[in-house]
Amino acid sequence: MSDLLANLAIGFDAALTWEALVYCFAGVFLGTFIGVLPGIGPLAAIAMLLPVTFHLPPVAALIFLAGVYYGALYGGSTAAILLRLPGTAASAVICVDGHAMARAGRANVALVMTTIASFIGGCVAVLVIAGFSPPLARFALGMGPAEYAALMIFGLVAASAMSDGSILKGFGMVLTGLLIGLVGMDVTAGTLRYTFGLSHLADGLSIVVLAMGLFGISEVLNNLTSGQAGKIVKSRFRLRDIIPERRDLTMSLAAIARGTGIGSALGILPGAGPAMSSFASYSVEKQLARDPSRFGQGAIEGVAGPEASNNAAAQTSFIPTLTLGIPGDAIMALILGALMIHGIAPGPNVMNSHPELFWGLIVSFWIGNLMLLVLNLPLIGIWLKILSIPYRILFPTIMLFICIGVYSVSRNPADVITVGVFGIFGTLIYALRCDAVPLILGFILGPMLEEYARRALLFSRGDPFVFIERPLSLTFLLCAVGLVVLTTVPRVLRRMREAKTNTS
Amino acid sequence: MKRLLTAIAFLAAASMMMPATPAQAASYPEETIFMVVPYPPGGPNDILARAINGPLGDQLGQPVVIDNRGGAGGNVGTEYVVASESDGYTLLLHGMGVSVNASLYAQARYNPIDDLAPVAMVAETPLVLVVPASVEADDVAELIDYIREHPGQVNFGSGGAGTSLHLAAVRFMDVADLEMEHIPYQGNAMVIPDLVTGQVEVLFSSISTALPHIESGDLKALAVTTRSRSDALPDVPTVAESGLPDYEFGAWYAVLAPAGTSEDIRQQLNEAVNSVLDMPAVRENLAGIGANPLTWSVQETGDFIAAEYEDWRQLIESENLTID
Repeated sequence: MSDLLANLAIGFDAALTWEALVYCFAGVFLGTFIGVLPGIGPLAAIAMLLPVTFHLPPVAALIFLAGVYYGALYGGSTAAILLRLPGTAASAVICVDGHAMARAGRANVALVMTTIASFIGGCVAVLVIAGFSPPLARFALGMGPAEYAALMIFGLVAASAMSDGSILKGFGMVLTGLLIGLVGMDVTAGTLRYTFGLSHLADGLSIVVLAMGLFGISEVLNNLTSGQAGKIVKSRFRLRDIIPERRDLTMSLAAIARGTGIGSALGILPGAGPAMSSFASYSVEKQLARDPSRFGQGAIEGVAGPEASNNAAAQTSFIPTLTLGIPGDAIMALILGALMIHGIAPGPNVMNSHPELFWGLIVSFWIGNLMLLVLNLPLIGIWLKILSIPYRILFPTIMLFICIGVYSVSRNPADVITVGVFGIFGTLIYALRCDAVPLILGFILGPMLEEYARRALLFSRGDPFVFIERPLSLTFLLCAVGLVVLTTVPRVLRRMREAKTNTS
Repeated sequence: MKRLLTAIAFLAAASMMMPATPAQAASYPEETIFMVVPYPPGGPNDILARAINGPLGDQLGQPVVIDNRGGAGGNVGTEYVVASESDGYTLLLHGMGVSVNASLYAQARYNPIDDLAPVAMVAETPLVLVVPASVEADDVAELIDYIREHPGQVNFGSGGAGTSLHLAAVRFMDVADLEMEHIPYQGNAMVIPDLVTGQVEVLFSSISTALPHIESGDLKALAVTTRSRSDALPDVPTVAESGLPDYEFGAWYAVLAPAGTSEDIRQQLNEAVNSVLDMPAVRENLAGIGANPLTWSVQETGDFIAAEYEDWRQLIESENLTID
């Protein structure tokens, strides 16, 4: 304990210098705007800012880039709630209930709650990093390919179960997502699949293209075709709205607590974890809700939980990046690259060899999350003004931003066409009353599941029992089976009872 | 009359255009130069490009902007440059993949010798041959014995089919006459967890990625792949020193231009790149990512790329590595 305090003292020394504070603020400030405006994604923004950090001391550089990263994640939720524009997989989850709240005139509540959820999630995750980094990193190392594959099967089953109404429809959506995820080069054998000879498809489709099409474009199309173009109940924002109503707060707090736990745990798994965190929290909230039918119609737990989870995972995902040198995604790879340019190679010894860097960053997370809170609560009033823009002006602007945003991901004009295709597809599945969220999760997890499952089989020389021989993997698989039983048995029993009453 | 006027106008226009060509070359560059990195941001190519593009722009008097065009193992960006104007305003910063991909990918629609023109070499990154602490081999000879004693059971990791990590191992197996099973990952760092826990037994890794784990004792460094030892690991011998004198491998990076880009422009760019690579600040940044700067002439760069192309074409054909 005294160790922890001593370490945090080192961190405060490094993060409370004027220089560090200024770069932390600049980072979260820039990040927020990058996140809110769907034009430039965080990856493009951090790539552009990278050379700036060559001239900074390493601690300031890292604090700045990390600030942009989690600032953009936070800002992404704002665009998702107000305009149904998800720039990341996590905000695709937020936009389901968040935008439903906005339509019902509760955008102010949704935005205040995401800000609070994001703050709590971030702060708790910082404690997790500060207290348990080395053991958690060791745990992450113990997760072999079989464990990852089993975890993903569990995630996919949970995704099918979490869609409302028909499990069959949810399963169908997950399967569609899996198939779309297969487009491109397969990692294990290097063969190209479903690319139709187009080199633009060789690396598969980007999650930004898929999410923007399925949510952003389809929303615009639905609005225009339904004749009630952008009918959103205006919500006003007064200063006292910063303190949420008791009912909203009590409903959210438990969701935030659960989301934070889920996100902190999943964040330590490189790659898979942060992507799964908000989906996992959403499906847990839905399973626990007294009235699951509210989900999709603007349930505040469906916004607060995933937001807390997402931000917690964003922070704890620095554990594998810094202590193992394993970047979970392209943004983390860039941040790692920035450190290497400074001659710091993150790895098992980074906490001993560069304590001021490690602890300085962790303390800066705290400060940065506080800055986000202070910065964004007053900004909510400004963001809400977006909703009072007449829809005939707003919708072409949204379309333009989607096109720029999608193009900026890999400067590929074909992506702009692809996003349109997915927009039409999104309208279609909306008309069929199918849920796009399981599709997104299938898309993310499908290729990872294949990669890990095949690798596990390579290691076991083709022996499929590897998945049940390893205890952790077996646990995940049993949980998946349990979830199937839990969700299907009550329905089957109800059917049987109905059939009985009908015959008698 | 009208025809005469047209002829005079034509002549006048022609005479104005004639001296314009050398003058244009002398005033190059007049606008922003785009340096295409054929991978998404964050990879070694990209980090290297971002370490030199600022000073290179200062040197040339025009900004050099990084243009990430990832896809198909670098082929999307390369084909984009091949199809660009050969005016010196679109350049390619590619790794050794530029010499390998045309043979490796059945779908690649270019040839690095005919469709691209060499500009300058940038850097070479030595790889290090590492094994987990649990593998009973402390040098290359012991590792070769170990692999021979366990036929068909030893595997090696890589950053993906056709990456430099994969190719370094392929060349090693070719030179030492060995068989190992290939386990591909998405990038160098992703192999580390399974390597540290001993599920992957052999990896040719970038030094900067492996170094922290070598220092912590989780991995054993058996040899570096280049001709000379690395400053980062001075006590580790080269593979060539360890009984395989024919083995040499370095992941290299070069700047290229579309075929037809004038020699003057390429010469000017070559000098600018080389002077940037001599700057102490740039050298320091490159050292951080484990890259040794190479200041070669246009001719040397071109000869080297052509030789690499031929080497890999033969090895890919004989090992049947083509990706379709």
